[in-house]
Amino acid sequence: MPRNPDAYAVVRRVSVGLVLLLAVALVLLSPRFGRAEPEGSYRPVLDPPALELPCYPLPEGLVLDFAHQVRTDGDVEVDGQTDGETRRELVVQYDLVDADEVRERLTASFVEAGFTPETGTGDALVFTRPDTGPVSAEVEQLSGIPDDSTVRGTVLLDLPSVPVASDDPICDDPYATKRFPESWEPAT
Amino acid sequence: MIDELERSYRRLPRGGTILAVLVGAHVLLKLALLPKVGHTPFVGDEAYYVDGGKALSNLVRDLVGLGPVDTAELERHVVGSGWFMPGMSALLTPLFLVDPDASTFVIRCYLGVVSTIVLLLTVRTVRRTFGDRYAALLLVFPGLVPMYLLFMYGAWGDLLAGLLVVVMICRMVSIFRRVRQGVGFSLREGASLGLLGIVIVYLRSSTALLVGGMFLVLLVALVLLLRRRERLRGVGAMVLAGVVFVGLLLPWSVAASQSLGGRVVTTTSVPTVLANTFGEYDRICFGPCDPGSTIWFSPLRYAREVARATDGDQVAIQSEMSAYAREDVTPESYSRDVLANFYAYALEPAGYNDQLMDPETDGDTFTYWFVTLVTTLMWYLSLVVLVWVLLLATRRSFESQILSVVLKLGLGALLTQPFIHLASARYWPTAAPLLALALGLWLQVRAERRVAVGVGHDLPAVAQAVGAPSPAAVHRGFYWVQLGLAAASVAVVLLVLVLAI
Repeated sequence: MPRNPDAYAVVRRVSVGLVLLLAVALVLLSPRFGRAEPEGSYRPVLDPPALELPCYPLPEGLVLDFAHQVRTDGDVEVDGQTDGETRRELVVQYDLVDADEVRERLTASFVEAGFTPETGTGDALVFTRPDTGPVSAEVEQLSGIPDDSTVRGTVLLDLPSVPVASDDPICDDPYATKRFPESWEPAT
Repeated sequence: MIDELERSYRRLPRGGTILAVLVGAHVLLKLALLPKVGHTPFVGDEAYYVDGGKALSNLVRDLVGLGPVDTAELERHVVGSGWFMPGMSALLTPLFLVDPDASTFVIRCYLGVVSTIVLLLTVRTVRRTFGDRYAALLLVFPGLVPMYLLFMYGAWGDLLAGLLVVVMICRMVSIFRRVRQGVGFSLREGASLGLLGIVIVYLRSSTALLVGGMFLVLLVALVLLLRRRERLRGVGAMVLAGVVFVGLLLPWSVAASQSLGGRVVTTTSVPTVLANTFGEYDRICFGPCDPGSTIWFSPLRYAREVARATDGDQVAIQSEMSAYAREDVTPESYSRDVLANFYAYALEPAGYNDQLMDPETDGDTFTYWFVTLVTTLMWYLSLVVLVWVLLLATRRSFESQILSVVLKLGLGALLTQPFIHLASARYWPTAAPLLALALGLWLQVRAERRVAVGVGHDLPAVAQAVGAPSPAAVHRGFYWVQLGLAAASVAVVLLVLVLAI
């Protein structure tokens, strides 16, 4: 114990005061030390929607007139063909509306883009246009979702393959184009 | 009797010396491990805390310079995806104010110094509340657990939150000691309890259950055990604690909710966590999520994409995704997942040394095996104490009774983690400091048995305590509370085991 019991208190108060002064001084001086640069790996900037990129456009004039997000895009080899002919398989999910309305809107969009409806097999909607040949869209509602679900189902579009239409570097980013290399492992 | 016992603890020869030696050992061991971890790049979530600290330091710069505040930067790096609360970022802010381009090594050294300061402050509080023996135990566990010392150089808040939980337990026990005599506690103490609670939650948001639960238990105890003016005073102090807690939580909740466009109280991670822990991976994004990334980032990107497409709120969409992914969860599948989590949570204590040390260069070194083996040994010993304290129902003394109850509540609240979250060894540092108190309690109960401590009902009659339950009744009550909590633990364990097997 110090001889004067108040000595501790005085020393303590003075040191707390000094620390506070130093802190205030550092805060006031901090702009002079420059700005910190966060790296941002935990909140990457979101790429634009895949179909709004200049990379792999839909057939000219075609617009998907319902809330949707592209899940996968890519070319698949056509069964039974040996010449390596491929078709474009585009999977989008539709939101907020149900399958019937999506079918209606799809039909309207295709017609507006100059396609003629044809009778398809099964549930698939089939349209054709001279430059693309027949294309199809299969609409499937998710099962087991609540009535007010945001995401409601998927549309599988079968389209002619298109080459990449731009040399924008974003076209090489699979997360943007949703054209994932087959070697990529599922998220773990 | 108990006071005598306590005094005898305090008279232990060279109590202060032993503590000083342990502090020295802690510092030396910690310094010895620095070369192994100092340059390790930030692992996972550490990157977020560091970015948040940088953005917060820029906020301070903008405020001091009276310039415009870069809200976009704050939204992106401090709120981020709302996964974490920015307690650790705030702790890192002073460093980035002074050294905006601090290197990994400097940041890790800073964290090492701060964590030792927090440990020493906690030890001081524990010493004042429970005496030298408990303080010494805390300096050993976590203070000398090698894996812990590595974590102390990390930017995760789990460990610091755990230490502050110990401080909160000390506060609660001191409050209970007075409440037992029929005396409430002051508004000032209430405010400081609320402050402590919110700091813990900011450091590690999963402690919200523990802090909220403790406050609630304290409030109920005050209402039951105090009378008249003291009851009013105690309840008033608790209300103030709540006001301080909520008042300091609000700025974060409001900022996060506005930034993410949904209602966020603490964090947004629970739906994704539940989906990843108990749901099916290939349903989380209403189908499989984007490949090539993690189960954390892929669903997040998807939720942001859906929110953008629908002009909706990504937090709500994450809840919908989670519900869809968990549609087929059964009590059996849930229990099996909980068991797997427990395994990862508690049975691989040194599981993170591969991340904090470089396995390529440090994989087979002495340090690596020292950290792994010593940590494993210490942790398994402490697990025995954990089981013991969860099952303890003592009638010996009020002191051991109250600590037993508070430890059961605290550990119970922290052990909910494997029930909701994919667990890993990284989460146990929050619960582990409590085990030092549990070990202290074990020694205390043994000592009480040895010297045959009976129930001390010889409390001085305090004027304020008129009409309050008698010490004997309180004593009996605490015994039954302990029995109830122990029975609840056993029931939960049995239920999980039966369902899982």
